[in-house]
Parts: sequence; structure tokens; C-alpha cells
Amino acid sequence: MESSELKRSKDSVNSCESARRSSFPDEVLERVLSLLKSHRDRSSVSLVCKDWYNAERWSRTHVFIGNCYSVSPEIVARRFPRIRSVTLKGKPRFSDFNLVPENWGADIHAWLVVFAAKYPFLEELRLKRMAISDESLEFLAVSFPNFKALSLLSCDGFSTNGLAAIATHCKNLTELDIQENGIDDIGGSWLSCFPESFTTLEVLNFANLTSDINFDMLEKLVGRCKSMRVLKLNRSVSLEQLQRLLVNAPQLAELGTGLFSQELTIREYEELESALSNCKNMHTLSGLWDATGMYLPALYLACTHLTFLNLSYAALQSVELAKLLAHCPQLKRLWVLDSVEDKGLEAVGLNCPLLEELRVFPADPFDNEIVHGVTEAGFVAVSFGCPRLHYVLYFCRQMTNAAVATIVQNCPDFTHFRLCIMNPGQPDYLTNEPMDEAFGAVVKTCTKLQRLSVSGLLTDLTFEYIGRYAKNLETLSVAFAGRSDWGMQCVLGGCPKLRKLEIRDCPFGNAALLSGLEKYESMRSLWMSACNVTMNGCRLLAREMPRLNVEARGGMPHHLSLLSEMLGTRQTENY
Amino acid sequence: MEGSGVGGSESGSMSTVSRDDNMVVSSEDSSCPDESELELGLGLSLGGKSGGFKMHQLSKGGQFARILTAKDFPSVISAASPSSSSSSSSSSLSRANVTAGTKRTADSVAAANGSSQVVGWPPIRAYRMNSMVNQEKNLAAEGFNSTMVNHKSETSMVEKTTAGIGKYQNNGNTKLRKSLFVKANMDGIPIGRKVDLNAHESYEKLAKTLEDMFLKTTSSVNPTGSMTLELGAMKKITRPSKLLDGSSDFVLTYEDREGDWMLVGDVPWEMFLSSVKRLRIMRTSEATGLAPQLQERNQRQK
Repeated sequence: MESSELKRSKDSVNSCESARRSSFPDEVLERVLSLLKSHRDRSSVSLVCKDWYNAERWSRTHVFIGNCYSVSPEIVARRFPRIRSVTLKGKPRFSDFNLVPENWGADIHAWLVVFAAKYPFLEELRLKRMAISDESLEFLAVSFPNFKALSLLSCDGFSTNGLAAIATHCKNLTELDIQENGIDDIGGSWLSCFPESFTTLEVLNFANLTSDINFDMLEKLVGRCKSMRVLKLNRSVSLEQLQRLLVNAPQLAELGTGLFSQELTIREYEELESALSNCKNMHTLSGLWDATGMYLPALYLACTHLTFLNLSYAALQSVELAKLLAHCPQLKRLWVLDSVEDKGLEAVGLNCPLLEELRVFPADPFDNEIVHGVTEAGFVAVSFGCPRLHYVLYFCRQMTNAAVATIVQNCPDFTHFRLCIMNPGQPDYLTNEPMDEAFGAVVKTCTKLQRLSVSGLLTDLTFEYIGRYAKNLETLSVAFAGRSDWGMQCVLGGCPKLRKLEIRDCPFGNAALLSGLEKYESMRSLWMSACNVTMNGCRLLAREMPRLNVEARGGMPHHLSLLSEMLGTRQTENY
Repeated sequence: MEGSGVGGSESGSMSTVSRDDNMVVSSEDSSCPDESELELGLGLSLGGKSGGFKMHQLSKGGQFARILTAKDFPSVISAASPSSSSSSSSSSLSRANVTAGTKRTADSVAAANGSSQVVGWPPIRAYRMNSMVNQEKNLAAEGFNSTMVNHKSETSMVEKTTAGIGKYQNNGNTKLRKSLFVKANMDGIPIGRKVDLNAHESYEKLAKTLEDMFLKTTSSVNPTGSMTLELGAMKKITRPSKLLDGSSDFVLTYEDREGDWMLVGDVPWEMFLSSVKRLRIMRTSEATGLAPQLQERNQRQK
């Protein structure tokens, strides 16, 4: 009797369980979910049910944290036990432009301490706008025996001594990527710290640094790292040295040259040209400091399969650019200085039909005394020739509503539209009207728009347009624009997918700030500086939204940095 | 050039305000202007009636024309507005700065290179700014040495062609020189241009370029897409270098390394290249100190 009862109850338990799990063992679910790479997909998956939440957290190997104050490292470690790769972003973006005070925070060390305990098998760390000291770098180097990849972008607080620690201790390093950081460049000896037995490096980017490195050591290092595919040199490496490196590394896919200007004999020139053209896999080219028409032809043969050309450190003239681009038919991404002027951009439109991304930086942003740079004409010319264009960053000194309307008509697929008319609050220079209609055209036409930076003279109408039409907008940057609270209210009331909003020098005040309470729950961050927000407004906000990190500087000008989401509380230090 | 971070390390308090805190507010909060001041309308000078910006259109072709002078902003705070018209566009900024808060003006003027700027604008990463500054310096330094360098590279090129190695052929006598950019201004036109002296081989060619730059309108792209060249009803220059022979209302002058203003054309071209700092198309009536040179030259040419 008992046994059959037992059996029945077991059966019923089994059938309950199997009904619940639909004969889908955890291991299988985990295996399937491990194929998911996108962190957004994973977030969605984890919300389905408890089993899926668990399967997802056990199968996740890479965690992306867009705002280091949104969550604590302990919580991350508790939820995801098997992380091998971490991406962390810290300071608000406006810290790149000196709008965030020193010692604001975003220090990596607390995270490293937790990781050392919970993720001793950590392999990759990618940081953006974090503060990282040499001590932290050394701690990192000795705490993780499997460590493979370090990428630092727009970080600060460290020196080349920290890099020396990495080179010395990380025996399995495959990637060292140092980009555009506030690094204290004491000297180049860090490079010599790689042991002679070390051969695993695949990515080496030290373009950020200025000091001389020991070229012999570099040559040997490159020679023995046969898997190297990305090599970005700094200015101290000459053309002749570049040639010697390339001879031993024709497999390179991404090359950043050193100084592209030197007295070469004919023979040296030819050797350089030959070495460059032997890099059959090269799809990305950068560096090219001080490049002039003289040696650019050496690149021609190497550019056949180039998809990304970064000339933003070479002040080329239009003719030089035109000649170069004639050899770059496959180009998808192009970064240039506005020294190429409209004529240079016409050449872009003529030669690069596959272009998807264009960035035009100002060579001389503060000189208002001369005619230079690019105008609306250049942008329009590119739009006619490059219908696939979807990412633009454009610094100019004049623009018209009509030109922008034409541009988006030609290129309706914009996902990133960042227009910077460099004189704040400047109207359409032909009609003298605000630039409202320009951005209206952008948001109405470009339905896929994810990121928008506005500039010029703008009334609240611009923001009405944005709120109403920009259904996919995630990031909005505003400066010297708007007329009243209404503008910001329109954005906060519309834009269903808004995640990051950064505002400086606009007449938006407390009413606008407080109109977005519901919105802030779904956003990553809000920045407001030099607006009409007051301390009391911030206090009200903090009181209404206890789960938000609200930070306000009482001094002038007002900084309000709203680091939202969930639970973290910032440890403020020196305030 | 990079202004110090706003608020930087000096005054200004920081409070983390959240429900659990006891509303910790530092004593320095009292330095915060009270709210009535903060409620000033910011940016109305920029966002306000477009009459705040007067557009002086120089020419029909829509050449650069954002010339604002102090008189466009009657209440501008003089501390932040420089006197030259070239920076007057930034005086509009200083007005906005004032309404935003008292310390703003100081911050924006603090920029090291002397012209009034807004902190963190244009939005370019500090790293890139530094690179550009260095680049400017390098180009400027190399410019003066380019003469020597050019000779060497010309020799190499000549060797190449005589040796008959085909690939790196240049057409004719195109010389590959480094650029030597100098600023050029014309009296009566507030916005100047930059000219690459090394792209010209003689005074005649230089003068022609300058005449093209300053005395003709530029082409413009019609927004509907067609390229229209708008040549204004300007006088076509039928004979070369009116600027050089003293027959026009203007003369071409240059500032040399010692800071003296000289008539262009008196010394050999190469020597000119090594001493010129910038160019100025001067009204003949103003070229008083140079008048004897002018007369001399006119006489010589007769």
C-alpha cells in the first residue's frame, strides 16, 4: 500500500515538475542562453521567469554596466557568478569637456577588489571614463592570472608606470588598448617590460602616449607576436621604423602609423610603399600625424580594402584628400579634419559610395578671424554621394535649415546625427531663422534615430518635434538652446526610449526637471549644468524619487547629475 | 585653452541628496546665490528674438557674415568682451554667461590663449584638443624651415626622374613642398583667409590668388542640390597683379619677422618666404610709411 502511494505521489511530483519545466533541463537552457551575446537580450530573457533568470545568470560571461553607480560590485558578483569580461562606464560624458570636477569619483578600485575575490578567472576589463590609479593597475596585473585584455578609453589617474605593471605581470595578455586617456606619460620604458618569452599580444594600441619607446624592443615584440592584428603606434615612431615593423607584420588588420613626415630617400620611400601594400588584410588605418601630400601616395596601394580611415590627426588639404580617396573605394568610415574644406567633402561624395560614417573635426576651433573649415555645402555634397550614411559628427561654422532638410532626404537612415554649429545659438545664416526646422526634419525623416546632438539657435519648437517624432531616440545632447521649461518637458514627455539626456546652458528649470519623474526610472542618466535648476528643485526630486542618485553642486554654475537606476549610493569623498 | 573644469577644485559644495541622507548640506551652500537670482532667464539673449543677432551679409554669395560688434549687445559686460570685432561673436556668449551665473564670466575668460571662450565648448575631447595644439606648433615651426627642406627633396626628385624609375612620377615641375600657411587680411574685410605660400612660385601667382580670394565671391551650393557658381558683378581682373604694381587702391604688404610692415615684391621670392609672417592688403592711403617704396617702384616701372 505504502509503496504504491509513494509511487503515485512521486509520479505526481515528477509530472508537476516536468510540466513546469516542459522537459527542458537547466543545462540545455543554459547552453542555449549562452549563445546570447547582447546584454539587452539577456536582460529581457532574465525577466521571463525564475528559471530563465537563473539560467541566464549562470550562463552570462560578460557584464556591461553603463553607469558604475547604478549598482554595486557585490550585487553584480552575487547575481553573475561566472563573469570573465567586464565593461564599465563611469563619469558623465561632459567630463570629456572639463565640465566635471576632478576627483568626482568613478574609481575602479573597489570593483577590482570584489572581482579579485569573486572572479579570479577574469579575462577582460574595458573601462570608459573611469578613474584608475597605478596601484589599481598593479593590483589588476597580479590578481588575475588569466587576464587577457585591457582597454582604457577616456580614463585618467594613471601613468605609464601602471602600464609597466601590466606588461610585466600579465603573461597571457592579448590586448592592451590605451585610447585618449588623461595619462601621465612619464616615459616609454613600460614597453620594455614585456618579457622576452611573451608572444601572445594581438592588440597593441599606445597611440595615446607621446614619449619615445625603445624601438628595438618594439620591433622584437612585434616580430615574435605572430598573431598581432592591431598595432597603433605613437608619434615617436618614424616612417623608417614603421617600414621595419611592417616587414615583420604583414598580417596586420589595423594599423596606426606614427609620425607620417620625415626626410626619406627614394629607396626608403619605395620600401615603405612596398611594406604598406603587403598588408593585404589591412582594413583600418589611423595615426598619420602631420601627414602631408608628400608621402600620402605611399598609402595608395594599401588602401584598396580599407573600410575605416582615420585622418583626424592629419590636417590634409582638399586636393590631398581627394587623391587619397580615389584609392579607397571600399571606405565605410571616415574621420577627417575640416582643413579638407567643402571641396574635400565633395571628393568624399564622389569617391566613397559605401560610406556609412563621417566625422569632421575642427582643426582650429577657436580661430574666428579667418574663413576656414566646412560649411553646409560639404555636408550636402556628401549626402548626395553617400546614401548609406547613417552616422555623422559634423563641426561647422554655418548651417541652414534647407541644407539639413536636403541631407536627411538623401540619407534617411541616420541612427546618429551629431551636428555642432560652433558658435552657440547661431541661426540659419541665410534666413536668420532658428534651426528648429532642421532638427524637425531630422526627427521626422530619420525614424531609426538613436542619438542626436543639436546646436544653433533653437526655440522650444525643436524639442516639441523631438518629443513627438523621435521614437527611437536614446541619447540627446543639448547646449545653448530652448526658450522655456516647455522644451525639456516635451522631450521628457515624449521619446519613449530616452536613456541619456545631457543639457548645458539652457533655460530649463525646476518645473522641467520635475516633469520627468516617471521618465527617470527608465533612463541611465541625466546631466544638467548652467540651467535654471535650483538646489531646492534637486531636493524635491530626490525626495520624490528615492531610488535615484541625485547629485547637485551648490556652487555656480549648477551641476545636476542624475545617475539613475536602482540601488547604488555614491560614496562622496572630498565634498 | 582648456578652461579649468567648471567649479574645479575651488569653491562650490557638493551634496548627495537622497532620501536616506539628513539632507547633508555643506556650509558653503550659503555661497550659492539665492534662488531668485538663479531664476534668471538663461540664454534668452541667444534663444530670444533673432534680432539679437544682426546679420551683416557681406556679399550675395553668402560669404562669412557673422559680424557682431559690441553695439549689438548694449548691456554686455565688458570684462568678457574683447575689443576686436573678430571675437565679437563670443561677446554674445559673455552675455549669456552673465545671466547664467556670476562665476561663469571668469571661467570663460580664464582660457589661456587669450580669447574669450566658453568652458568645454566646442565639445571636443581634451586629448584631441591637445593634439591639435601641438600640431599647430609643429607646422608653424616647420614652416620657416621648409625652404631648406624643399631644396633637398627637389634634388631627390630630380635624381628620381633622371634615373628613370617610373612609378613616382610627378607631372611637370610640381614641387612637393611642405605647406607654409600665413594669414591674409584685407582692409575693410573683417574676416581673413589663410594662404599657402609654398603653393605659389612667385609674387604674381600669390597676388592672383589673393585677388581671387578677396575680390571675387565664392561659389555656393544651392540647397536644392544643384551647384551654382555665383560670380558677383565684381570687376574681373583682366591684367595680373594690380596689387603689385601700385595701380589699384590697395597694396600688398607683409609683416616680417622683426614685426615691420614691408611692401611685397621687393626681395627675392625665397627670401620673402623665409621672413614673412603674415599678409595684409592695405589701402594705398594707409600705406604712408611705405609710400616712398611705392613711389620708387612706380618710377622704376615706368
